[in-house]
Amino acid sequence: MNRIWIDVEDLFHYAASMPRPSGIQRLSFEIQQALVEQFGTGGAIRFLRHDLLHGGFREIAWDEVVALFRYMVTAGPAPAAPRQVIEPPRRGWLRRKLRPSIQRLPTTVREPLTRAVRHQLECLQALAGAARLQVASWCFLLRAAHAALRPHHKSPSPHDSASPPGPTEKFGATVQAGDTLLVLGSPWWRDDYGELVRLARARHGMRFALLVYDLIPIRRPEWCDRYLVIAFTGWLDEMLPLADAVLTISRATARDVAWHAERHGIALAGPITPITIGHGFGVAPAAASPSPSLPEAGSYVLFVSTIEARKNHMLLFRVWRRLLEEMPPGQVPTLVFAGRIGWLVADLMQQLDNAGHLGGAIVIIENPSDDDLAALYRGCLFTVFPSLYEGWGLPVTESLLFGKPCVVAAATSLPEAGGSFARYFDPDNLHDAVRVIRATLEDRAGLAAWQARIRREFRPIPWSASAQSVLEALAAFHAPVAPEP
Amino acid sequence: MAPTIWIDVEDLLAYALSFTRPSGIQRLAFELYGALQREFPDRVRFVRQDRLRGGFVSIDWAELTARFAAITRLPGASAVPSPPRRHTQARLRRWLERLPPEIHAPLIAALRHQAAALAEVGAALGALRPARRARPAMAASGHGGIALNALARPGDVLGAFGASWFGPSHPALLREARSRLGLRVALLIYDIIPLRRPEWCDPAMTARFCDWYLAALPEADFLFAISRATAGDIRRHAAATGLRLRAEVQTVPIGSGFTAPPPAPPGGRLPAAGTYVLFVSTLEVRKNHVLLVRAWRRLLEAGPAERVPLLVFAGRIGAMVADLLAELVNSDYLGGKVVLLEHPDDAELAALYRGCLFTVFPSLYEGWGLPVSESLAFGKPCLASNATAVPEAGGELARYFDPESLPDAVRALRSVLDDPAALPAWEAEVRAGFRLVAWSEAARAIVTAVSRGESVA
Repeated sequence: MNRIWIDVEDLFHYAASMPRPSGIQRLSFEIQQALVEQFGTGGAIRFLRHDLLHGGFREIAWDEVVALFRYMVTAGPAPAAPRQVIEPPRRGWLRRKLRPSIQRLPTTVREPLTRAVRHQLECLQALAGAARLQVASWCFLLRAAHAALRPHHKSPSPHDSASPPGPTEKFGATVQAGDTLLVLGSPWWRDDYGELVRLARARHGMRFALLVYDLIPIRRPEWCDRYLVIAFTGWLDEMLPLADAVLTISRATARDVAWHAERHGIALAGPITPITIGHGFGVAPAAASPSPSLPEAGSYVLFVSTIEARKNHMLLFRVWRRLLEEMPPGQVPTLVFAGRIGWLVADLMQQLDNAGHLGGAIVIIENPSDDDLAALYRGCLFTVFPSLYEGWGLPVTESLLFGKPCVVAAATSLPEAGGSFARYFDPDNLHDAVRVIRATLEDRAGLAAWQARIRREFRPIPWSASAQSVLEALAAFHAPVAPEP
Repeated sequence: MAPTIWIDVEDLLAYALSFTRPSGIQRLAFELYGALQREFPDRVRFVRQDRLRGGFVSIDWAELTARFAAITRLPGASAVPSPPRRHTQARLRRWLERLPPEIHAPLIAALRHQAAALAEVGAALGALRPARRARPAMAASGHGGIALNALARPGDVLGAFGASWFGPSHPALLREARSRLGLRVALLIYDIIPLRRPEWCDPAMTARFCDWYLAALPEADFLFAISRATAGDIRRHAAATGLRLRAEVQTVPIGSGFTAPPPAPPGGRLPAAGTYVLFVSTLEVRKNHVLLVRAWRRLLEAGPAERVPLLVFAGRIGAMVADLLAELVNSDYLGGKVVLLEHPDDAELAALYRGCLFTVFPSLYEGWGLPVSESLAFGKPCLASNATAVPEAGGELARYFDPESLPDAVRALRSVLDDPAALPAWEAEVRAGFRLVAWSEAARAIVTAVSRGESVA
């Protein structure tokens, strides 16, 4: 019987620097878990880490993967309080004391003096601001250096335990010709991954398949870290010709892989197959009640996403500016951005500050806990997702799972995620976004009917279906996988 | 006897202290002052603020020209500042601009506030010693000018045609000029973007502008706007907020030419003529450079890269574009298709205009749209935003797209790039059809309006 060996090293690599799993880690974990549920452990489905001592792979028990993943899901950073408009400083003690004597001065002296003091304060504030920014950048460097020197500074976590008694030799002894090496995650940091794959093929007669999430570092490098662009592009260009099957998380990504291969003359060894993506993530976090500071239910539109340039928060900022100008006062709901503040958005945040968050119409809830997120989903009028480029679109299916209508960018993979339950607009066209969002806001009866239809008709896809589609994608060269007797 | 127009040029002089090259407003204002001076030499005088004693003092046109030339490097610049000082200033300016914008901006703000604080302390001290005010105005003036209250007659006009909100107490000065000297106040408004779109402006500037605007506008006996779009914005804002205006807003025609740049040979960093599309503007979020980057990304995805021309951004790096610059670095400037030319001097700009295929101007909000009329003046077609005042600057010779819609921008670019015959025909149209609006027209419009106001009064 042929086995499927899933490389999970990237989860351990990721956990060393990031506290919480991202979409890639969650999605690959769900598929792995569904496969384990169907076929058990120790049978046809096996897990691999990289053997850094001897090269090649070593087998790892599924329990270790589960332990690390659960640790990551439950031990995230404490959520921050919502950003609020900073109140002007209270009039101070000094001012109260000085006021009587200042008021005795003649106007011609008092007024310029008052202005002089105000300017002097602004001058000092500006200098302090400059100094603070400078210090902040030094602190960042210090922290980065500190983190680099001591990678495991967190509380003990499962992956910190001194080299687990992994059955290192077992992999070499167990693996058979015709077994498949499957990459569901993101081992892009290894620029020698091609060597690993070639060895696995040459030594063990293995097949190789990988799951591709998106080609954003290639199609839109402007939104990616330069190092990631170089690492990912090199990795993918080397992997594609080696892969007996390329799996993608959407038809859009499948198109992108084909486009890229054609444009760069990369010969693909196997087919490109989009797999089915399940809905919702199974691991429930430790229960905690949502923060009391969330906006009132029914008063807001929700955008759940890391705040970064690609996600197009800028567009919604401009849409809300237009809505506030064009719609009657009091008719425009609050817009909630819920997510971590990512990168390439410092200028957007500055614009939000400059505009006083449009008089409080835009609220940012940084690092919401899973409970806060659930409460936010339940209380929103509907959700929006204007992202310019995605491999799939988890927040869209998440919104539908919560029974909430979602107004979505008609770009890349998003129509696949939203299907017939979402409404769409062009994320590169402000007018189109205003038109669709305004129509949704102005037709509350239609919104209620839309929500009712989602609750009635939306059928969540189980992760077992994803696991099944992965097996089907491998079926071309991999014998049918049977449960262990 | 016709009233004299006293023009407050304080902002122009203050701008010279900020170590930056003049922006649109300073350039427009300076051209307008020149035209007023040429056309109405007997009617126009210039004043600056007297920070020490309050009020205004006169300043010679020659001195003003010299100071402005020092920052623009216009012909005649060499006569004014001594070389070492100019060198230091340029170095200080370069050093300041090389700092990250988030450090640069507060430092500049700190310098400005420090200067203002010292000036105010000076004013307070001056007020404490009233005896000194008895000195003859001429001798007392630290700036070598004569106090306006010794020169102006009731009925004269005090004109503030620049960026007057830089000064802390400008509206009070206007009020004083009206009530004490019986002067009538004329204001020229370029745009009210800080009121309409504060997100694109420095918050300190927004606060200063809004304070100034709300206090100064009710003082204006004559209110001019540089475009119908700005005039409309002023009227709508007043109607919406109940701001009471004394005067109807009148639109002043904006001249299209600038004082000719020196015939200096441009440096070697310019791309070859005929290989690029040009966007002249400070890089700031309002100017919408990001739209063009995305449009070029689409052009490059659709067709062979060698058929897509370069996109040249020529201008200073302004506020809130650090993320855009990072995106450019991440994408390797779209594989070298985007070229950033910082601080082009006037000779380089002229060469860039002459060598471009056409120009683009995707700005989201403008009081006018100087680069559009400038492009047409160079005989170059301009593909411009259809927002706010830009179509007034481009007229029928420019072509337009919606700056809020990437598909529309790409469509407009393709219509020019995909049809090789279209561009020469359009360029011929521009050269044949362009009518230079002389700055004297703007000067005449202002003086006529002021004189008509006189006869009515």
